[in-house]
Amino acid sequence: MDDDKITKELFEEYVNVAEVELSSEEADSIYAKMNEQLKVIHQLLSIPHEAEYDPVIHGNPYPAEIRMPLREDVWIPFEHPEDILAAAPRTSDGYIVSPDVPHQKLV
Amino acid sequence: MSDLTSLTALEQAKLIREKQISAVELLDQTLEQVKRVDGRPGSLDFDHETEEDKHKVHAFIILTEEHAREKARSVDERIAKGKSVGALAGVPYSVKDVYCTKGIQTTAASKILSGWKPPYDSTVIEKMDQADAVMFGKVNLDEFTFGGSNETTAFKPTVRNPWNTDRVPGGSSGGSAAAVAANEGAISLGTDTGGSIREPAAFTGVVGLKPTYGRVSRYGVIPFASSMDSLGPLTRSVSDAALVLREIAGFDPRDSVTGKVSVDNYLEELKKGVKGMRIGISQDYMQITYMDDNGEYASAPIDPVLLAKMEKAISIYKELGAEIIEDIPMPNTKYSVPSYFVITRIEAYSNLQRYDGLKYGHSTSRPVTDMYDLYYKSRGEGFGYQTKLRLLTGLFASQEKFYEKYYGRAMRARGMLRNDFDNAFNPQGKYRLDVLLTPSTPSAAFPFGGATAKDSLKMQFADQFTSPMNFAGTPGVSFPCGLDNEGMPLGLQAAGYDYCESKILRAAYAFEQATIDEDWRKVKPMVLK
Repeated sequence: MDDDKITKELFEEYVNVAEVELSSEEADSIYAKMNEQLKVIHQLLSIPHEAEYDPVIHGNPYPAEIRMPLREDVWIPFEHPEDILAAAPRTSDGYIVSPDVPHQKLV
Repeated sequence: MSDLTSLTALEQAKLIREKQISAVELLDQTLEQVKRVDGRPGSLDFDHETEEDKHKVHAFIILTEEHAREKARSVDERIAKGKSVGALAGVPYSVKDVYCTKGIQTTAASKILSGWKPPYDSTVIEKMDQADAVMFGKVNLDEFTFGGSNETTAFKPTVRNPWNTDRVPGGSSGGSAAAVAANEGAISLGTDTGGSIREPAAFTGVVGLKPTYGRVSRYGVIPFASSMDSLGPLTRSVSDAALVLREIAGFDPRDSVTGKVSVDNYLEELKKGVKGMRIGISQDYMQITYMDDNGEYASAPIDPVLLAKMEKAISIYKELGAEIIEDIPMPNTKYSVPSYFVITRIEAYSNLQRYDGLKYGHSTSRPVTDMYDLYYKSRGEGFGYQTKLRLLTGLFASQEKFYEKYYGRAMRARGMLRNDFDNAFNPQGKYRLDVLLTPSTPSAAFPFGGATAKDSLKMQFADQFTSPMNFAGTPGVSFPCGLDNEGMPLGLQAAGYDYCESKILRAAYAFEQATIDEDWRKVKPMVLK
C-alpha cells in the first residue's frame, strides 16, 4: 500500500492535470483524505487477478434482440444553436470566445 | 375540498379526471404546503442558518410556479372540453435538479452550473409532460449527486428530514424524498447510482424505485457514473411508483443503453399478489462487511430493530403465500463499496471534464492568462469540496499504472456481483428467486454531521445494501416497514432481476396492503404535526 501513497509532489501534479484550483486549506484536507481513502480502494486487492470473471463495463447484458442497432453516422444539427450560445459566458458572431490557447509541445 | 396534498397521485389524478377538483386548485394547495413547511429555498447566496431554518425542510432550489400554472390550466381546459388527458393529468411533481428542463435553471446543486438554463428537456421530463403531470419545482441534492446526506450541496440551507429536522434526509435524492414525505407533491423524480433513491426513501418513510439499468432513459440527465446511473420515482405509495414507472419507462433512441423491452402495466400487475412467489433472504445483507485496520474483513450487525422488521416482513410474506428461501449466497456483496469507490470516481472524473467555464455555467471573473487558466480558476471556484475530492481521486485511480490493480479489479468485482444475482434469480438454478428481500440501509437516518461530507467512507456503508444492484444493473424498490425506537422511518428493499420491476413492486405492494392499518403508519413526520 505504501508504494501507492500519494506524495505532495504527485498531489500537486494531479491538481494541475485535473485543472482545478484549490485553496491551501482544501489542498491540505484533500491530500490527507485521498491517502486515507486508499484503505478502501485497497480492499479490492483481496480479489485475485486470476478471478474467473472478466471485467465488465455493464452489469446487465444487452443481447442483440434488445440492443439498439448502430445509428447512421449522420449529422443532425441542433435546431436552436442560439440557445446554446446564450448559455456561454462570452460569445461573438455566433462563436464561443475563449482566451488564448497556448501552444503545447508534446514531449 | 380539504387537504389534497396528503392524497396519493392516483387519488389526485382520479379527482381531477372526475372534475371533483381542478388541477389549478391542487397546484395551489401544493404550493401552499411548500410555503408552510419548506422555508427558504436552497441558494448560493446563503449566509448562515437561522433558528427558523432548523425547523423547515428546504427541499426546493426553485419553484416553477408560472410553468406549472400554465400546464395545470391546460389540463383543466382539456378536461372541461371532454378531451383525453394523460394518466398523471394535473398531478404536481418535483424533480431532482439534475434533470435538464428547457429554459429552467438546472444546477446539479453546484455553483459551476449557476445560471445555466438547458436548451432542451430530458426524455423523462418530456414523458411526464405527455402524461400531463405538472412540474412545479426542482429539488436539492448532494452536489452532482456526490453523497448520501445532502450535506454536500452548494445550495444552502441543506435539506432536512421531515421526520426530525435534526436528521439528514439521506441522499443524494434527499430533496425528492423530503418533499414527498412532507406532502410537497405526491411524486418526485430522483436518480440512483449506488442507492441515491432507495437510501433517502428509507430515511424519510417513502417508496423509492430504482429500475433496471436501461429501463428509463438517461438522456438529458446530468451524469455521475454513466455505467450505473438509473432514474426513478419517489412516492408515498407503491401504486404511485408503479404508475410513474409505466409513464417514464421505455426504449429511447437517444440513450443507447435503453433496451427494446416491452413496458408492463405495473399498476395492473400489483393485483397479482405474492402467492407462490419465491422470496430470498441472504445473510450477506444482514450485516455490514468492511475491512478493519488489520486489513481483515470484519462485520457489524445491522440495527436490531431493523432486524425485527425483516423478521416480521418474512412472516407476513409467508402468511400471504410466498415461499421464503433462506441463506441465499451473495458472497461478493462485500466488494460493492470498494468497487463503487473506484468505478464511480473514475467515471465522475470523466464526466466532470465538461465543466470548463467556457461553454456554460460559472466562469471566473478574475483575469486569466490563457484558456487553461480559465479552466483552473473557474473549476476551482465552481466545484465544492466533495466534487474536488472525487475528481482528484478519480484521476488518481484512473492512471494507467493502476489499471489492473484497481480499475480492472473493480470491473471484475462488478462481474462477480452480477454473478451473485444470476445465481439467485436463474429460473433453472438452485434458488429460482423472484425477489430478494433486504434492509434498504443498515440503520435509520443519522444526525447532521454524523457522517459529514468530509467523511465519505462512513457514509458509503449506508449504500452497502443498495449499490450491488447498481453493479448488477438490476432493479430494487425501498418501501417503509416501520419506525425505530426514536420514531425514525426504516425501509426494506425488494430487489429483482432484469426488467422484473413488476415482481418487486408486487412484493412491496403486498407488504404495504398487509400493514396498511398498523399504528406506525398513522404516525406523521414532525413537520406535518
